[in-house]
Amino acid sequence: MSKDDHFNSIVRMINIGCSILSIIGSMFIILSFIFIRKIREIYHIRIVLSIGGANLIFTLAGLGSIIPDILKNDGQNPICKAFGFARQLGSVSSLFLTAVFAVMVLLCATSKLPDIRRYEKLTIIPVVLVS
Amino acid sequence: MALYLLLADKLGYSYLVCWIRNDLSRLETLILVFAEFYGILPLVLLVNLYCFIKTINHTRGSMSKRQAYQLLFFPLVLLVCFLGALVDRIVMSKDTDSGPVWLRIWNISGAQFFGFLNALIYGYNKNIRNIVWQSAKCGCRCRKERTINPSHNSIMASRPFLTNNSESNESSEQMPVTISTRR
Repeated sequence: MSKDDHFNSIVRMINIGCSILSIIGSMFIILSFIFIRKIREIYHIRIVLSIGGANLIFTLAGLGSIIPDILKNDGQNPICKAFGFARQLGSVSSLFLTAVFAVMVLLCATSKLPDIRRYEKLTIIPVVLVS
Repeated sequence: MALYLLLADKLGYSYLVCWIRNDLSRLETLILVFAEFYGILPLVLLVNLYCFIKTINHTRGSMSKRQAYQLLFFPLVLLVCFLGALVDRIVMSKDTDSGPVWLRIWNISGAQFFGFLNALIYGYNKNIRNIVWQSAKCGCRCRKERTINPSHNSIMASRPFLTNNSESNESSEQMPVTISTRR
């Protein structure tokens, strides 16, 4: 095994370890939302759920290297392209949603607008579409 | 944005993951990588910082120091997870294989760790923890009572969250993100 292969296998192990933690974290949010009614009543939970979903997609898409031969030939195969698409979608959605969350917290603290939750719903769909 | 990459055939191998292809010209890769992600990152970071600092200033009287620090964790996580990847990308754009090892590891592990840290700061605050804990406790109690006395089933099912007032008051006095949420 060459030095590069050894290094790559270490990075791959770290990648998998971090991914497993991320999947557990994201699934915790999603499953809590699905199974616990009281969680669904929390104000910003839809954005948090969307962030959890985006992170799950982003993390799973980063695990492409565990599928044999997916990265060969410079990743010129439909599976790698699908993973790349999911990674891009998940990463940008996640970034935008964190910004939306920050704006919603600010609005919640400072604005006197009635029914701010309506804006929350309105922002999630365009964010995903743009991503 | 993702659709453009797919239709323009720019997706492929990108150092241990599938993303924007490495085999494009260096300038093209750099432009795409920054237009599609790393250019957006500083903007989002600034929006986060601005919003949370303004929130802290606005609610200074009603917010504890700990809660204020908790709000600043949100942009901090973004920075910690993607700063390595950003620097690694800049280094790679100059000379593909000369990036230091620790930067590569930071790049890969930071991005993959993002989901976990996000779940911790967004979804694992004290309020949510209390609700999950209470419902888990109730779930166990419901199951026990069901085995002891099956006639309790309908009563327990109609009241899945048996919490007294003091408990529910306590749970609503947590993170600033969720204090003002009960409208």
